[in-house]
Amino acid sequence: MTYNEWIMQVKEDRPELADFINKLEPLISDSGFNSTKFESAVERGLKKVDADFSDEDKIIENA
Amino acid sequence: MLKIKKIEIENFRGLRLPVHLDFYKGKNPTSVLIYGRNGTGKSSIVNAWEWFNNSDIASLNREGVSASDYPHKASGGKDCYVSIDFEHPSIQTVKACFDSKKINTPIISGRYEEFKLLSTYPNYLRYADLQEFVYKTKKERYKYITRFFGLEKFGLLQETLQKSINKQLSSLQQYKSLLNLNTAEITPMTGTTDVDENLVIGFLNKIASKYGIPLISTFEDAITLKTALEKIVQDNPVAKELSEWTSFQSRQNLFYPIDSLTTNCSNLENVFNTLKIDEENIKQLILSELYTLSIEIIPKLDDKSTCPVCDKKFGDDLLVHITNKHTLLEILNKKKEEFDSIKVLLEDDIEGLSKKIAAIKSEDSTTVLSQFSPFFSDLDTIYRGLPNLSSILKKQLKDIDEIVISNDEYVSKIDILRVNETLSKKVVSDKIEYLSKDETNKNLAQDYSEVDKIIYSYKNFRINFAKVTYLQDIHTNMALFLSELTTYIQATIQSTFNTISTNVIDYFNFLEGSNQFLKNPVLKLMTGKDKAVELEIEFVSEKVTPAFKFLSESQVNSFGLAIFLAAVKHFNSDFKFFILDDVVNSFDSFKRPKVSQLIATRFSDFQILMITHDQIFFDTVQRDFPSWQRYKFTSWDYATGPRFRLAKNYSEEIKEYLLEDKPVTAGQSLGRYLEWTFGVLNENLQTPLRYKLDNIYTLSEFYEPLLKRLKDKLKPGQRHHILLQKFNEFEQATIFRNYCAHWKNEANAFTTDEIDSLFEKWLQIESMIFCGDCKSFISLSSPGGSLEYLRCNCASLDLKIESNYTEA
Repeated sequence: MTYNEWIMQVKEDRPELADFINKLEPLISDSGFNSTKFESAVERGLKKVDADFSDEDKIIENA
Repeated sequence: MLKIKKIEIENFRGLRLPVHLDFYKGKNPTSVLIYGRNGTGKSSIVNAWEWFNNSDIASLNREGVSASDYPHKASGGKDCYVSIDFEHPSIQTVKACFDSKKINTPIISGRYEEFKLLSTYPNYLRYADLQEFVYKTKKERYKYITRFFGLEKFGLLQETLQKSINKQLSSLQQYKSLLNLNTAEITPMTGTTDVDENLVIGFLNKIASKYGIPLISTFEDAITLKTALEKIVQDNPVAKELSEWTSFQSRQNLFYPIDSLTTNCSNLENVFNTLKIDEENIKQLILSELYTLSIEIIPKLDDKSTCPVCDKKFGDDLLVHITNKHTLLEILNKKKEEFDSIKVLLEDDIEGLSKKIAAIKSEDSTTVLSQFSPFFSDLDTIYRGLPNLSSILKKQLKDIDEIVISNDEYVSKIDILRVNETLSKKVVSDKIEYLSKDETNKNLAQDYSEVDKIIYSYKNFRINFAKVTYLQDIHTNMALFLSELTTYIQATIQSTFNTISTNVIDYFNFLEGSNQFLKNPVLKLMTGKDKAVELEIEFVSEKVTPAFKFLSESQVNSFGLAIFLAAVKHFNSDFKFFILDDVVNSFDSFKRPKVSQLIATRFSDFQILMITHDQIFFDTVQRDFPSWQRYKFTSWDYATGPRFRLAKNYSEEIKEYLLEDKPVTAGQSLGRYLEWTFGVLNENLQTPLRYKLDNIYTLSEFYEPLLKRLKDKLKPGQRHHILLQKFNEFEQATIFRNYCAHWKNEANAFTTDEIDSLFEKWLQIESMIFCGDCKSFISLSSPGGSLEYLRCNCASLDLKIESNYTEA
């Protein structure tokens, strides 16, 4: 079974994971899992949390 | 069926000029045997094959060799290629050329994709791979299995995913800790154990109602409430100052206690100065692990005087030399470890102190700043000095010339702050006590301080809560995905092993047939561990796990080789080809012919590239497989790469000398061959031989006991045995007896005809005692205990059958 076949199979067996796997898929290659890109994406997600709350504060201050 | 016709490699690793390996003799596919001493470029061929298949060489990658190092240095990356001619209806020539512009993507020509569909599983095994299987951990063994079961990419994904999950988990724990801190700040004010927005709003409204400030319904309005309360405080100078001191007191309590850096700085200086004395040896610390490994390996080597790393002979006791070097380095290594551990302590101190200073420096009350101006001035000095210390700690030991830090101003300022802790705390508490004399002012200041604190803490709580939820969600999904992957790998390993286990057991039992107590090895996944396999063996009918309790290293090698061969046979059914690179080096010398016999009996339909640096094994294989192409790599140099030639086996060599009318040289080759063959036969027949201390024998001293043994065991009685008749002719019709005693003496002039006749007669005898199917000479055995046989391993040659006897 190839990588892609296995991933398709997991998506079918575990539909609740399908969306998450779709996001991971571009990071999976013959060299394994691209941790660096993944960690950058997670870091961006964390910064977005900060930015969202910062925007909220600005709106309040302006109000 | 895909067959290899020719492999051509140029400018790859140690190969400079084109190397051609022919896998066809006439119109027939065959295998290739390569012999060469270490360092003659043999392994570059396996590397080239791996690169051709995977565009990558994993073992070199692990050693830090990048793809840019694959081409031969003198080629400058040009004309570096592997080209393979195949015998196949559609796949003809496939070529992979190194591309210096895209070093990880070779330029491919030919039907490569079609080839890859037939060559899906790894079909090359190096000596180092087997060593990993034998010597390394359960985890390494798991890697070995995943690789040869076609799961290498899945295994790699599992490993890299696991690393990412671990990192995410660590990040998640950090945010959970921060969230706990926020909770610990909020709950004493709300008087609850959990944090909830309504509780925070309730707390704020309670204070607001005391001062007639409009109540709020969402946390977003909290800032309005705080501004209104702040205005009340500003209108009351005492309450304002009190709230500023109370706020500073909170910061002060978070700042203290602080650690002194003086002791760790002094220790670092002292250890550094000791290390600096041994500067030259520090550069050798990198070799420490190599020495450790050598100490383990040297006692296991047959030749204990040759360095296992550089292959050079060492005059004295190599093990003692390596042990002494290792001991010296170990002492130095301990010092280096001490240096590193002090560095880690200091780095932690700096990090902690920097955070504390940054927090307390954010003080904005002009009253506090002016009253504590010496304190804040010292903080500035320290804050500016710490990066200097950090930059020293980040340097490699070899790059540091000197360390003089313990007397730096910022280090002593830290100690001043430590000494003043009690006093400065008292100043603040006295201020607060004085300003708190008026109860109204005191309550106003305290309320403002709490409003400020709960808003700040709850803001952080919301951010950290969102981050924890975000990371937790990722972690849960990643863990589920990894769990699916692990389940798939484990199920595939187990089912694959079950599928090939008959062959694994067959090959193992074949290689280890001399030990009847150990048999039937089984691979078992360790329950509860994601990446570990264990070996089980049957020892006197009892199953034993781990098998290492009873298996020798050589037997584990047999297991590793059996798994590889069974996997190759099972998976690559459309491309029957594999490479064994020096793997027999892991086997005891008496077991090496077994490898050759295993290949002969189980892999006769395969093409094989066998690489060895063992001359005796080369001779064994070339005798067992006379139709194989044989190459001898005689030397290597930078400008040309390996020098090699087609090698002849004994038979071809003798015939050629006879054709060239060189009877002396032909006679000497034949003598060497007979000496070796008589030795094998005497061993197989358990012939009693006279032992000679000077270890100098003529052929007669091997031949006479052999003949007597054959006569004893064949027991012709009144009948004739066809083999003994052949021996009789051998002696009568040739100059054999004279030759036996004098073949080593070049002065004895045997004629070409005499040697030719001797050789032909011997070949007739050999055809009766050497089995071309299982590649074994006859041997003495009594499997049932009573009947005694003289037959080959596969029993197709059986000397004691009736048809071999004639009436006298």
